[in-house]
Amino acid sequence: MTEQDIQKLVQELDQVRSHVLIFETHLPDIIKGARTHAKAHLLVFKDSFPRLRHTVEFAEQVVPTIDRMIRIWPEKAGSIPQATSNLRKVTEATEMATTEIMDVVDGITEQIEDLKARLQAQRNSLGEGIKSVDEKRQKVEACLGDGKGPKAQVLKEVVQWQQSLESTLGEWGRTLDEVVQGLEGINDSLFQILNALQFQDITAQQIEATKAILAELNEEIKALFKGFTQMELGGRVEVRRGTFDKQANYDRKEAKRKQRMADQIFEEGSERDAEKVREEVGEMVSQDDIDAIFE
Amino acid sequence: MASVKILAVDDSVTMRRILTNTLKRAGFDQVVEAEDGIDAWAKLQTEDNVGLILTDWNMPNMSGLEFVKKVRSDPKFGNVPIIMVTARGVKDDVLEAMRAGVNSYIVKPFTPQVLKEKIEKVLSSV
Repeated sequence: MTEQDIQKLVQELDQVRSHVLIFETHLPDIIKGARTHAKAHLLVFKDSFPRLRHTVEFAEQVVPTIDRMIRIWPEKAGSIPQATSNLRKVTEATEMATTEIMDVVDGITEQIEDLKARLQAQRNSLGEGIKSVDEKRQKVEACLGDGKGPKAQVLKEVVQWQQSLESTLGEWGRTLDEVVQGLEGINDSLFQILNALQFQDITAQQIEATKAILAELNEEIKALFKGFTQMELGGRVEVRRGTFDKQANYDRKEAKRKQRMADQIFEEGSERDAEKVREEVGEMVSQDDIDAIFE
Repeated sequence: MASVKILAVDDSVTMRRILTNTLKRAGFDQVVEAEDGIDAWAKLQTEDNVGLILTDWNMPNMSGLEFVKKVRSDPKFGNVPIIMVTARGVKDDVLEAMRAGVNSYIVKPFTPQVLKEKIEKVLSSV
Protein backbone atom coordinates (compact mmCIF):
# COMPACT_ATOMS: atom_id res chain seq x y z
CA MET A 1 0.00 0.00 0.00
CA THR A 2 1.46 3.34 -1.04
CA GLU A 3 1.22 6.58 0.83
CA GLN A 4 -1.18 7.82 -1.86
CA ASP A 5 -3.48 4.86 -1.24
CA ILE A 6 -3.42 5.50 2.51
CA GLN A 7 -4.37 9.15 1.98
CA LYS A 8 -7.23 8.15 -0.25
CA LEU A 9 -8.41 5.69 2.36
CA VAL A 10 -8.22 8.32 5.08
CA GLN A 11 -10.32 10.68 2.92
CA GLU A 12 -12.92 8.00 2.41
CA LEU A 13 -12.96 7.29 6.14
CA ASP A 14 -13.47 11.01 6.75
CA GLN A 15 -16.45 10.96 4.40
CA VAL A 16 -17.86 7.95 6.19
CA ARG A 17 -17.30 9.65 9.54
CA SER A 18 -19.04 12.72 8.21
CA HIS A 19 -22.04 10.64 7.12
CA VAL A 20 -22.12 8.85 10.46
CA LEU A 21 -22.11 12.21 12.23
CA ILE A 22 -25.00 13.40 10.08
CA PHE A 23 -26.81 10.13 10.73
CA GLU A 24 -26.14 10.47 14.46
CA THR A 25 -27.54 13.97 14.39
CA HIS A 26 -30.74 12.92 12.60
CA LEU A 27 -31.09 9.53 14.23
CA PRO A 28 -33.33 10.68 17.07
CA ASP A 29 -35.62 12.40 14.58
CA ILE A 30 -35.68 9.32 12.35
CA ILE A 31 -36.38 7.08 15.30
CA LYS A 32 -39.03 9.47 16.54
CA GLY A 33 -40.66 9.63 13.11
CA ALA A 34 -40.51 5.88 12.73
CA ARG A 35 -42.06 5.41 16.14
CA THR A 36 -44.83 7.91 15.34
CA HIS A 37 -45.57 6.17 12.04
CA ALA A 38 -45.42 2.77 13.65
CA LYS A 39 -47.72 3.94 16.40
CA ALA A 40 -50.16 5.40 13.90
CA HIS A 41 -50.13 2.14 11.91
CA LEU A 42 -50.61 0.15 15.07
CA LEU A 43 -53.52 2.35 16.06
CA VAL A 44 -55.08 1.90 12.67
CA PHE A 45 -54.42 -1.82 12.87
CA LYS A 46 -55.89 -1.82 16.37
CA ASP A 47 -59.05 -0.19 15.03
CA SER A 48 -59.12 -2.39 11.96
CA PHE A 49 -58.40 -5.60 13.70
CA PRO A 50 -61.95 -6.30 14.91
CA ARG A 51 -63.24 -5.55 11.43
CA LEU A 52 -60.56 -7.72 9.92
CA ARG A 53 -61.50 -10.45 12.34
CA HIS A 54 -65.14 -10.10 11.38
CA THR A 55 -64.17 -10.16 7.74
CA VAL A 56 -62.26 -13.36 8.25
CA GLU A 57 -65.13 -14.86 10.21
CA PHE A 58 -67.57 -13.74 7.50
CA ALA A 59 -65.33 -15.25 4.85
CA GLU A 60 -65.23 -18.49 6.82
CA GLN A 61 -69.01 -18.56 6.77
CA VAL A 62 -69.41 -17.43 3.20
CA VAL A 63 -66.77 -19.52 1.56
CA PRO A 64 -68.62 -22.81 2.09
CA THR A 65 -71.75 -21.16 0.68
CA ILE A 66 -69.85 -19.88 -2.34
CA ASP A 67 -68.23 -23.25 -2.69
CA ARG A 68 -71.66 -24.85 -2.55
CA MET A 69 -72.94 -22.34 -5.11
CA ILE A 70 -70.04 -23.16 -7.39
CA ARG A 71 -70.83 -26.85 -7.05
CA ILE A 72 -74.63 -26.65 -7.23
CA TRP A 73 -75.63 -23.55 -9.19
CA PRO A 74 -74.03 -24.57 -12.48
CA GLU A 75 -75.87 -27.85 -12.15
CA LYS A 76 -79.13 -25.99 -11.43
CA ALA A 77 -78.37 -23.51 -14.19
CA GLY A 78 -78.12 -26.46 -16.50
CA SER A 79 -81.75 -27.21 -15.77
CA ILE A 80 -82.98 -23.74 -16.82
CA PRO A 81 -83.12 -24.62 -20.53
CA GLN A 82 -85.04 -27.75 -19.57
CA ALA A 83 -87.43 -25.73 -17.42
CA THR A 84 -88.05 -23.26 -20.25
CA SER A 85 -88.53 -26.13 -22.64
CA ASN A 86 -91.22 -27.44 -20.30
CA LEU A 87 -92.84 -24.02 -20.24
CA ARG A 88 -92.88 -24.01 -24.03
CA LYS A 89 -94.62 -27.39 -23.90
CA VAL A 90 -97.23 -25.92 -21.53
CA THR A 91 -97.96 -23.20 -24.07
CA GLU A 92 -98.18 -25.74 -26.87
CA ALA A 93 -100.43 -28.02 -24.82
CA THR A 94 -102.82 -25.21 -23.84
CA GLU A 95 -102.93 -24.03 -27.44
CA MET A 96 -103.74 -27.55 -28.60
CA ALA A 97 -106.34 -28.06 -25.87
CA THR A 98 -107.89 -24.67 -26.63
CA THR A 99 -108.12 -25.60 -30.30
CA GLU A 100 -109.84 -28.87 -29.33
CA ILE A 101 -112.29 -26.99 -27.13
CA MET A 102 -112.99 -24.53 -29.94
CA ASP A 103 -113.56 -27.44 -32.35
CA VAL A 104 -116.06 -28.96 -29.93
CA VAL A 105 -117.75 -25.61 -29.29
CA ASP A 106 -118.00 -24.95 -33.03
CA GLY A 107 -119.44 -28.44 -33.53
CA ILE A 108 -122.08 -27.95 -30.83
CA THR A 109 -122.91 -24.47 -32.16
CA GLU A 110 -123.40 -25.92 -35.63
CA GLN A 111 -125.66 -28.69 -34.28
CA ILE A 112 -127.67 -26.17 -32.29
CA GLU A 113 -128.08 -23.93 -35.33
CA ASP A 114 -129.26 -26.94 -37.33
CA LEU A 115 -131.64 -27.96 -34.56
CA LYS A 116 -132.93 -24.41 -34.26
CA ALA A 117 -133.60 -24.26 -38.00
CA ARG A 118 -135.49 -27.57 -37.90
CA LEU A 119 -137.51 -26.53 -34.86
CA GLN A 120 -138.26 -23.19 -36.46
CA ALA A 121 -139.51 -25.00 -39.57
CA GLN A 122 -141.71 -27.19 -37.35
CA ARG A 123 -142.93 -24.10 -35.55
CA ASN A 124 -143.90 -22.45 -38.83
CA SER A 125 -145.64 -25.63 -39.96
CA LEU A 126 -147.48 -25.80 -36.65
CA GLY A 127 -148.57 -22.20 -37.04
CA GLU A 128 -150.02 -23.01 -40.43
CA GLY A 129 -151.75 -26.08 -38.92
CA ILE A 130 -153.31 -23.95 -36.18
CA LYS A 131 -154.50 -21.45 -38.79
CA SER A 132 -156.00 -24.27 -40.88
CA VAL A 133 -157.81 -25.80 -37.89
CA ASP A 134 -159.10 -22.35 -36.97
CA GLU A 135 -160.44 -21.77 -40.47
CA LYS A 136 -162.18 -25.18 -40.51
CA ARG A 137 -163.67 -24.56 -37.08
CA GLN A 138 -165.11 -21.29 -38.29
CA LYS A 139 -166.65 -23.10 -41.32
CA VAL A 140 -168.16 -25.78 -39.07
CA GLU A 141 -169.51 -23.10 -36.70
CA ALA A 142 -171.03 -21.33 -39.72
CA CYS A 143 -172.71 -24.58 -40.83
CA LEU A 144 -173.93 -25.22 -37.31
CA GLY A 145 -175.66 -21.88 -36.93
CA ASP A 146 -178.48 -22.22 -34.40
CA GLY A 147 -179.10 -25.82 -35.45
CA LYS A 148 -180.45 -28.35 -33.01
CA GLY A 149 -180.87 -32.07 -33.08
CA PRO A 150 -178.41 -35.02 -33.21
CA LYS A 151 -176.43 -33.74 -36.22
CA ALA A 152 -176.07 -30.31 -34.68
CA GLN A 153 -174.88 -31.97 -31.48
CA VAL A 154 -172.19 -33.85 -33.44
CA LEU A 155 -171.08 -30.59 -35.10
CA LYS A 156 -170.89 -28.91 -31.67
CA GLU A 157 -168.66 -31.74 -30.47
CA VAL A 158 -166.48 -31.27 -33.59
CA VAL A 159 -166.16 -27.55 -32.81
CA GLN A 160 -165.21 -28.32 -29.20
CA TRP A 161 -162.63 -30.85 -30.42
CA GLN A 162 -161.22 -28.28 -32.85
CA GLN A 163 -160.98 -25.70 -30.05
CA SER A 164 -159.20 -28.21 -27.86
CA LEU A 165 -156.84 -29.08 -30.75
CA GLU A 166 -156.09 -25.41 -31.37
CA SER A 167 -155.32 -24.96 -27.71
CA THR A 168 -153.01 -28.00 -27.69
CA LEU A 169 -151.26 -26.91 -30.88
CA GLY A 170 -150.88 -23.42 -29.44
CA GLU A 171 -149.27 -24.92 -26.34
CA TRP A 172 -146.89 -26.94 -28.51
CA GLY A 173 -146.03 -23.76 -30.43
CA ARG A 174 -145.16 -21.89 -27.24
CA THR A 175 -143.06 -24.85 -26.05
CA LEU A 176 -141.21 -24.86 -29.37
CA ASP A 177 -140.58 -21.12 -29.04
CA GLU A 178 -139.19 -21.69 -25.55
CA VAL A 179 -136.94 -24.51 -26.80
CA VAL A 180 -135.59 -22.29 -29.60
CA GLN A 181 -134.98 -19.52 -27.06
CA GLY A 182 -133.23 -22.01 -24.80
CA LEU A 183 -131.02 -23.13 -27.66
CA GLU A 184 -130.14 -19.52 -28.39
CA GLY A 185 -129.20 -19.14 -24.73
CA ILE A 186 -126.95 -22.21 -24.97
CA ASN A 187 -125.37 -20.71 -28.09
CA ASP A 188 -124.69 -17.48 -26.23
CA SER A 189 -123.08 -19.42 -23.38
CA LEU A 190 -120.93 -21.36 -25.85
CA PHE A 191 -119.88 -18.07 -27.39
CA GLN A 192 -118.89 -16.83 -23.94
CA ILE A 193 -116.78 -19.97 -23.49
CA LEU A 194 -115.11 -19.26 -26.80
CA ASN A 195 -114.43 -15.67 -25.78
CA ALA A 196 -112.98 -16.78 -22.44
CA LEU A 197 -110.39 -18.82 -24.33
CA GLN A 198 -108.49 -15.56 -24.82
CA PHE A 199 -106.82 -16.64 -21.59
CA GLN A 200 -104.65 -18.97 -23.68
CA ASP A 201 -103.08 -16.11 -25.65
CA ILE A 202 -102.52 -14.07 -22.51
CA THR A 203 -101.06 -16.90 -20.42
CA ALA A 204 -98.82 -17.80 -23.37
CA GLN A 205 -97.48 -14.24 -23.23
CA GLN A 206 -96.98 -14.52 -19.46
CA ILE A 207 -95.08 -17.78 -19.95
CA GLU A 208 -92.93 -16.22 -22.67
CA ALA A 209 -92.15 -13.30 -20.33
CA THR A 210 -91.11 -15.80 -17.63
CA LYS A 211 -88.93 -17.59 -20.16
CA ALA A 212 -87.25 -14.30 -21.00
CA ILE A 213 -86.41 -13.77 -17.31
CA LEU A 214 -85.06 -17.31 -17.03
CA ALA A 215 -83.00 -16.77 -20.19
CA GLU A 216 -81.39 -13.68 -18.67
CA LEU A 217 -80.77 -15.54 -15.40
CA ASN A 218 -79.24 -18.39 -17.36
CA GLU A 219 -76.81 -16.08 -19.15
CA GLU A 220 -75.92 -14.28 -15.89
CA ILE A 221 -75.18 -17.55 -14.10
CA LYS A 222 -73.12 -18.77 -17.01
CA ALA A 223 -71.08 -15.56 -16.96
CA LEU A 224 -70.72 -15.68 -13.16
CA PHE A 225 -69.48 -19.23 -12.96
CA LYS A 226 -67.37 -19.27 -16.07
CA GLY A 227 -63.86 -20.14 -14.87
CA PHE A 228 -65.05 -21.48 -11.51
CA THR A 229 -66.26 -24.79 -12.77
CA GLN A 230 -65.35 -27.36 -15.34
CA MET A 231 -68.98 -28.29 -15.58
CA GLU A 232 -70.73 -27.67 -18.88
CA LEU A 233 -73.10 -24.81 -18.12
CA GLY A 234 -76.66 -24.76 -19.43
CA GLY A 235 -77.37 -24.22 -23.11
CA ARG A 236 -79.18 -21.30 -24.65
CA VAL A 237 -82.77 -20.56 -23.77
CA GLU A 238 -84.86 -19.79 -26.82
CA VAL A 239 -87.23 -16.89 -26.30
CA ARG A 240 -89.59 -15.57 -28.95
CA ARG A 241 -88.57 -11.94 -28.59
CA GLY A 242 -91.19 -9.37 -29.38
CA THR A 243 -94.07 -11.82 -29.13
CA PHE A 244 -95.18 -10.99 -25.63
CA ASP A 245 -96.12 -8.19 -23.34
CA LYS A 246 -94.63 -8.77 -19.89
CA GLN A 247 -97.60 -7.00 -18.32
CA ALA A 248 -100.22 -9.09 -20.14
CA ASN A 249 -102.90 -10.13 -17.68
CA TYR A 250 -106.20 -11.98 -17.96
CA ASP A 251 -108.22 -9.62 -15.84
CA ARG A 252 -111.55 -8.46 -17.26
CA LYS A 253 -111.93 -5.66 -14.74
CA GLU A 254 -108.44 -4.36 -15.41
CA ALA A 255 -108.98 -4.68 -19.17
CA LYS A 256 -112.18 -2.68 -18.87
CA ARG A 257 -110.34 0.06 -16.99
CA LYS A 258 -107.57 0.14 -19.59
CA GLN A 259 -110.15 0.13 -22.37
CA ARG A 260 -111.78 3.21 -20.92
CA MET A 261 -108.39 4.90 -20.68
CA ALA A 262 -107.64 4.05 -24.34
CA ASP A 263 -111.09 5.25 -25.41
CA GLN A 264 -110.54 8.45 -23.52
CA ILE A 265 -107.27 9.10 -25.30
CA PHE A 266 -108.80 8.43 -28.70
CA GLU A 267 -111.81 10.53 -27.90
CA GLU A 268 -109.54 13.41 -27.08
CA GLY A 269 -108.69 13.17 -30.76
CA SER A 270 -105.17 14.52 -30.74
CA GLU A 271 -101.87 13.61 -29.29
CA ARG A 272 -101.53 16.96 -27.57
CA ASP A 273 -104.78 16.45 -25.76
CA ALA A 274 -103.73 12.95 -24.85
CA GLU A 275 -100.47 14.27 -23.39
CA LYS A 276 -102.50 16.78 -21.42
CA VAL A 277 -104.67 14.00 -20.05
CA ARG A 278 -101.51 12.15 -19.08
CA GLU A 279 -100.20 15.15 -17.20
CA GLU A 280 -103.49 15.63 -15.44
CA VAL A 281 -104.11 12.04 -14.56
CA GLY A 282 -100.61 10.67 -14.05
CA GLU A 283 -98.95 7.53 -15.35
CA MET A 284 -101.41 4.96 -14.07
CA VAL A 285 -105.06 5.93 -14.06
CA SER A 286 -107.36 4.82 -11.29
CA GLN A 287 -111.10 4.42 -11.68
CA ASP A 288 -111.57 7.42 -9.42
CA ASP A 289 -109.37 9.51 -11.71
CA ILE A 290 -111.37 8.45 -14.73
CA ASP A 291 -114.64 9.14 -12.97
CA ALA A 292 -113.37 12.58 -11.96
CA ILE A 293 -112.55 13.40 -15.58
CA PHE A 294 -115.94 12.24 -16.76
CA GLU A 295 -117.64 14.33 -14.11
CA MET B 1 -121.11 -2.37 -43.27
CA ALA B 2 -121.14 -6.11 -42.61
CA SER B 3 -119.93 -6.74 -46.16
CA VAL B 4 -116.55 -5.19 -45.40
CA LYS B 5 -113.56 -7.50 -45.70
CA ILE B 6 -111.54 -7.62 -42.47
CA LEU B 7 -107.89 -8.61 -42.14
CA ALA B 8 -107.30 -10.14 -38.68
CA VAL B 9 -103.61 -10.25 -37.72
CA ASP B 10 -102.43 -12.17 -34.65
CA ASP B 11 -99.61 -14.65 -34.06
CA SER B 12 -101.83 -16.67 -31.72
CA VAL B 13 -103.89 -19.34 -33.44
CA THR B 14 -106.39 -19.11 -30.60
CA MET B 15 -106.82 -15.36 -30.96
CA ARG B 16 -107.19 -15.54 -34.73
CA ARG B 17 -109.95 -18.07 -34.34
CA ILE B 18 -111.70 -16.10 -31.60
CA LEU B 19 -111.53 -12.96 -33.72
CA THR B 20 -112.87 -14.73 -36.79
CA ASN B 21 -115.69 -16.38 -34.84
CA THR B 22 -116.63 -13.15 -33.11
CA LEU B 23 -116.58 -11.20 -36.34
CA LYS B 24 -118.71 -13.77 -38.15
CA ARG B 25 -121.20 -13.80 -35.32
CA ALA B 26 -121.35 -10.02 -35.52
CA GLY B 27 -122.20 -10.36 -39.20
CA PHE B 28 -118.78 -9.78 -40.75
CA ASP B 29 -118.49 -12.82 -43.00
CA GLN B 30 -115.40 -11.84 -44.94
CA VAL B 31 -112.42 -12.39 -42.66
CA VAL B 32 -108.84 -12.96 -43.82
CA GLU B 33 -106.30 -14.15 -41.26
CA ALA B 34 -102.57 -13.35 -41.02
CA GLU B 35 -100.05 -14.53 -38.43
CA ASP B 36 -97.67 -11.56 -38.30
CA GLY B 37 -96.94 -8.21 -39.91
CA ILE B 38 -95.11 -9.72 -42.88
CA ASP B 39 -97.91 -12.17 -43.59
CA ALA B 40 -100.46 -9.37 -43.20
CA TRP B 41 -98.59 -7.15 -45.62
CA ALA B 42 -98.53 -10.00 -48.16
CA LYS B 43 -102.27 -10.63 -47.66
CA LEU B 44 -102.94 -6.94 -48.16
CA GLN B 45 -101.30 -7.17 -51.59
CA THR B 46 -103.21 -10.26 -52.69
CA GLU B 47 -106.65 -9.75 -51.14
CA ASP B 48 -108.99 -7.35 -52.87
CA ASN B 49 -110.66 -4.52 -51.01
CA VAL B 50 -109.60 -5.06 -47.43
CA GLY B 51 -111.77 -2.53 -45.63
CA LEU B 52 -110.49 -2.88 -42.08
CA ILE B 53 -107.44 -4.24 -40.29
CA LEU B 54 -107.44 -5.67 -36.77
CA THR B 55 -103.89 -6.23 -35.59
CA ASP B 56 -102.13 -7.52 -32.52
CA TRP B 57 -99.06 -5.61 -31.32
CA ASN B 58 -96.58 -8.22 -30.10
CA MET B 59 -95.78 -10.53 -32.98
CA PRO B 60 -92.60 -12.10 -34.38
CA ASN B 61 -90.91 -11.00 -37.64
CA MET B 62 -92.88 -7.76 -37.93
CA SER B 63 -94.75 -6.30 -34.97
CA GLY B 64 -98.20 -4.82 -35.22
CA LEU B 65 -96.81 -1.33 -34.69
CA GLU B 66 -94.29 -1.74 -37.53
CA PHE B 67 -97.08 -3.09 -39.73
CA VAL B 68 -99.29 -0.09 -38.91
CA LYS B 69 -96.47 2.31 -39.83
CA LYS B 70 -95.86 0.42 -43.06
CA VAL B 71 -99.51 0.54 -44.02
CA ARG B 72 -99.85 4.21 -43.11
CA SER B 73 -96.84 5.14 -45.23
CA ASP B 74 -98.18 3.31 -48.26
CA PRO B 75 -100.11 5.39 -50.80
CA LYS B 76 -102.40 2.50 -51.74
CA PHE B 77 -103.36 1.25 -48.27
CA GLY B 78 -102.61 4.34 -46.20
CA ASN B 79 -106.28 5.06 -45.57
CA VAL B 80 -107.41 1.58 -44.54
CA PRO B 81 -108.77 1.87 -41.00
CA ILE B 82 -106.78 -0.03 -38.38
CA ILE B 83 -107.73 -1.20 -34.90
CA MET B 84 -105.00 -2.37 -32.55
CA VAL B 85 -106.10 -5.41 -30.49
CA THR B 86 -103.53 -6.04 -27.80
CA ALA B 87 -102.86 -7.00 -24.20
CA ARG B 88 -100.66 -3.89 -23.87
CA GLY B 89 -102.66 -1.39 -21.91
CA VAL B 90 -100.46 1.32 -20.44
CA LYS B 91 -100.98 4.87 -21.54
CA ASP B 92 -97.69 5.19 -23.41
CA ASP B 93 -98.61 2.16 -25.51
CA VAL B 94 -101.94 3.69 -26.45
CA LEU B 95 -100.26 6.98 -27.31
CA GLU B 96 -97.61 5.23 -29.39
CA ALA B 97 -100.26 3.31 -31.31
CA MET B 98 -102.19 6.51 -31.89
CA ARG B 99 -99.05 8.26 -33.14
CA ALA B 100 -98.43 5.35 -35.50
CA GLY B 101 -101.86 5.92 -36.98
CA VAL B 102 -104.33 3.39 -35.55
CA ASN B 103 -107.95 4.47 -35.57
CA SER B 104 -108.96 2.66 -32.42
CA TYR B 105 -107.55 0.50 -29.66
CA ILE B 106 -108.94 -2.65 -28.02
CA VAL B 107 -107.44 -4.11 -24.86
CA LYS B 108 -107.35 -7.90 -24.43
CA PRO B 109 -109.24 -9.71 -23.06
CA PHE B 110 -112.02 -7.97 -24.96
CA THR B 111 -115.74 -8.65 -25.06
CA PRO B 112 -117.58 -9.28 -28.35
CA GLN B 113 -119.59 -6.13 -27.66
CA VAL B 114 -116.47 -3.96 -27.44
CA LEU B 115 -115.10 -5.46 -30.66
CA LYS B 116 -118.36 -4.84 -32.51
CA GLU B 117 -118.75 -1.31 -31.15
CA LYS B 118 -115.22 -0.28 -32.10
CA ILE B 119 -115.51 -1.72 -35.59
CA GLU B 120 -118.83 0.00 -36.20
CA LYS B 121 -117.53 3.28 -34.88
CA VAL B 122 -114.37 3.16 -36.99
CA LEU B 123 -116.24 2.10 -40.14
CA SER B 124 -118.87 4.76 -39.68
CA SER B 125 -116.21 7.47 -39.38
CA VAL B 126 -114.41 6.65 -42.66
